[in-house]
Amino acid sequence: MKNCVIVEDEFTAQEVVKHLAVKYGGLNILATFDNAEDALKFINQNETVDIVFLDIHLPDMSGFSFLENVTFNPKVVLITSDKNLALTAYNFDLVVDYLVKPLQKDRFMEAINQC
Amino acid sequence: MNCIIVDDQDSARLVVRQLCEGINDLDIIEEFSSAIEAIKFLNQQSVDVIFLDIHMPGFSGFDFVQTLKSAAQIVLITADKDLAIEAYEYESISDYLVKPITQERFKKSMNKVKNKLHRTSMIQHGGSSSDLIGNDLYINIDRRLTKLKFDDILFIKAKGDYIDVKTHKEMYVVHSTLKKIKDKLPDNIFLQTHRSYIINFTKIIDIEDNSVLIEKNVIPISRSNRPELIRRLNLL
Repeated sequence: MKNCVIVEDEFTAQEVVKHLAVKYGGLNILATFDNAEDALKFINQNETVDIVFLDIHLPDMSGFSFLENVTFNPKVVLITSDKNLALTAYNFDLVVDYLVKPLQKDRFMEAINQC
Repeated sequence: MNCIIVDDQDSARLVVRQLCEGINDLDIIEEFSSAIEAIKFLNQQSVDVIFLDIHMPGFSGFDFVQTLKSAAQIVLITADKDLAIEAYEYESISDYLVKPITQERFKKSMNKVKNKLHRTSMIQHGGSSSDLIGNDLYINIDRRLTKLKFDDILFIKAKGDYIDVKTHKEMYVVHSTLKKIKDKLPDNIFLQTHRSYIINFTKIIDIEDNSVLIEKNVIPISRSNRPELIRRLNLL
């Protein structure tokens, strides 16, 4: 079973990702964070993380700064309501997919299947 | 890696050609000024990488991607910054490069493609299951016949003209069809669960309503294939 971490500051969005990840993705959620700093600490100490669901606009830093500070190679699925950063996302090799809120189950599954 | 360039503008193709010259192990085998011509070509021959423009008259880059039945990785090359979000809709698109493109960014892109591009191979055609020797399947990878033990295969997924053969350690991309490989697999451990999937059902970890878990992979079960799966499991 793949391990995932959710980094998302919005409670409702967290719940939606959790639900989809467990019910349809068959994923094991290791932890959920509402800020980048704590998430980075956790992720860099847990190389068992397979997938990171990452919001781009986080209170303490951007999702892209976050990616620059990840020290190993988990797969990252960006989840955001901002449609304008997909081009920037292509610059990061860790990013396998870019999902725009509201999340659709089928699109979410496509992302997971690439991880 | 073999690649082709698909762009309606001569000057744009030249730019890509120049970028490619800076990369070892990248051969341009053909250039096309129209997507339709490229599709005709790809029906005959497989390539590893396709450099693709988005805005072309008649048939756009995205139309092309939708039509494509190939395991090739696509790198979009365009002056249009606004379509990256759409590009993420297609799994086969590995990268999106906006002109002007630096050699550095291009190099990075080619590394990404190499990582994504699984080892492409050709399955040996011909012969039937009665010719099977022991417990192995031979597939041709990089012109070398590689032995796969049936028992090491987790599942097989159809993908256009290719199939992905997944083992614990590797994913092999083989130029073949699900139907062909099905004939070569012993049906005491392999079972089709879905139009696009054959699984080794001794590897199942658990089963949900419409999916099975094999190692870390969730495999769909279609309604019509489910009764057979359940029947088989009862035998174990």
